[in-house]
Amino acid sequence: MIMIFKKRIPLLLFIACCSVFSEEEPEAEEPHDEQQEENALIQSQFDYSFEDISDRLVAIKYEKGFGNGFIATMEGKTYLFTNQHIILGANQLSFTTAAGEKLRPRRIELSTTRDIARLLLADGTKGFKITKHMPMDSPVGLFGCREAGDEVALELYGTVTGVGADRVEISAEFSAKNSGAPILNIQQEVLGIASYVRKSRTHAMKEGTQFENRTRRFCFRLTGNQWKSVNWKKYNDKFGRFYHQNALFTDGVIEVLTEWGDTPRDRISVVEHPEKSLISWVTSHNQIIKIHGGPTQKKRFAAEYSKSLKTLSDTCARRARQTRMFSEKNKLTGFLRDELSRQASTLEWMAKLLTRISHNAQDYR
Amino acid sequence: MKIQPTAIALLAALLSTTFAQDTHLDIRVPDTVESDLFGPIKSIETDTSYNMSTEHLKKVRSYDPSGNLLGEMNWNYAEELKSSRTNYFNEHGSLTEYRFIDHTDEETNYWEIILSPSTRQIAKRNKKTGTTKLRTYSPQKYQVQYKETDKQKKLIKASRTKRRADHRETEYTRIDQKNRPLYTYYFKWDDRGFITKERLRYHQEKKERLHSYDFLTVDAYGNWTQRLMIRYDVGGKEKTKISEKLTIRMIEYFEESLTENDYDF
Repeated sequence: MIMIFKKRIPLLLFIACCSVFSEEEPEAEEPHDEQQEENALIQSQFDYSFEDISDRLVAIKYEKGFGNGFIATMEGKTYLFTNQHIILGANQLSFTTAAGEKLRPRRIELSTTRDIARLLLADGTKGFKITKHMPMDSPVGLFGCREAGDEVALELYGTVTGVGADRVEISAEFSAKNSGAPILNIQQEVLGIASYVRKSRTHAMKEGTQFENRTRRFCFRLTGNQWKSVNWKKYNDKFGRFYHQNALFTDGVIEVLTEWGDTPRDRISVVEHPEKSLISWVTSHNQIIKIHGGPTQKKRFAAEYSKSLKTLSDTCARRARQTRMFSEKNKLTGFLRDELSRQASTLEWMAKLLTRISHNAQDYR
Repeated sequence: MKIQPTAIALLAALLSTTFAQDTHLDIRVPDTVESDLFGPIKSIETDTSYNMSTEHLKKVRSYDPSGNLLGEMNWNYAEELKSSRTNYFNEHGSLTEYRFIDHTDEETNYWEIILSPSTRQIAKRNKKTGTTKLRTYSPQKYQVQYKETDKQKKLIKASRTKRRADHRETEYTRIDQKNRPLYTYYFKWDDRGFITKERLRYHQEKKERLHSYDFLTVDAYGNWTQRLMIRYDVGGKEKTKISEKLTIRMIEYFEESLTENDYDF
């Protein structure tokens, strides 16, 4: 038992560190009564609701997913805005307003530095105004579609809690699934686009302070951007799919290792995952788990177990090298370059740690 | 422009003379006016954070009804009091001394004030170290020069400020120990009396920076209360963002804050 415990220490460390890299966040928690009252007070300042603006809110559907978007005017033209991470890697995209109107964008432009895409719409399409004015503590609302059913409205209220050059932080408790939704002020102007959620690392210094286990929610500002027009099919085929597949692989490895870390001598139950190489590894690893018996079998088990972890480490390392190479391509936008670079760092770290655990596992019984 | 070599001699003269009949207000404008603040300000609590960090720095400044700075306190990121300064005035309202406490190393320093209205200069001398800070003011009472010397009168640092007709700063140049210009700030103002852009040019290396200001909120007296500064490195026509700073000011006034009704005569 003691030996098993020792083996688990680096894994727990690994899992803890994975959360640092992960931008995925917990589901929005149920607000406390006090928070609910505050939100109700903020909501009361809005003289409009989802229904009033449903013609400018957009549900984006692709093969196995769903995202938000919205229509706004910029530089005299009307665009559909969404996050790059929502549309990258998708084969088929469809855009429908919450009021039910199908949209057919003409051209895609990507922000060179932020996780935003804008898709040109036909002249005369009604859109929100965009504002640069976003004082701290001012009331904001996030409006979007909750899930694939376009008609399921989502309204979340809060205040501006941080303002930066390219992003704004808000207190409205949105989750990663609400990405792409607009953040509106009481004048129906867009302050930014809901983009990512980050949970702060637990640290002894933060205990007992307002920053303990704090979840922060960020929206990219639409103003002050530089846009790059792309041949979407080529860009998406070359980079988008790679990015998407990489994200699936990284999340899959984290999922597998999280389960494995809890019960390292048990079978891994993750048998369905879009990333086939991972499932192949799980199948192979589960065969090793079956090895039981006397001292010879135990020795064989340790060797096979160690080898299995090394195999996964090698896969991560290979992916990391490939991802690092992709992240240096000139044609990428700053957002995708940063994302791929982040993915490469995560994979490199995973590979390094798995190698270390694999080495220690040679003594595993 | 070079710092006048006669300044050291002048300072020596200053330090041996007292001007009890004069108040510092005869030489310079009040601190609030010098800082381009508007209205009867009682105190300002300033909260600063960089790059959207959750860590904040806090500073509180208090003023008397004439706009003179009474004291200043600074807190570090751990919300511990880092330093405090207290100004002491005589019965004529003249600044006579100030005390500076560094709470980190628990060191206290007293600075005595020597006035020279005829030359529009104020010298502040550290009683313990002998360091002297000499400020020279324009006929309109705005600071135009600053010079800091050690006990042996050796230059530590200096600066000079250029102002336009309405006294707003247009250039600020920092001078190094060898009396060479280190860098110059060039300021751009808007109609509200806010600096909207600062261009920073380094003289001894090929480097230029730009500070751009966005004012998020302004109160009824016309003072900004939320400001975002973005700092860029400038190279030719390209500029690269290097950091951003959000500053929030909570301003307390001697009178009640102006409301819409105050303008409704």
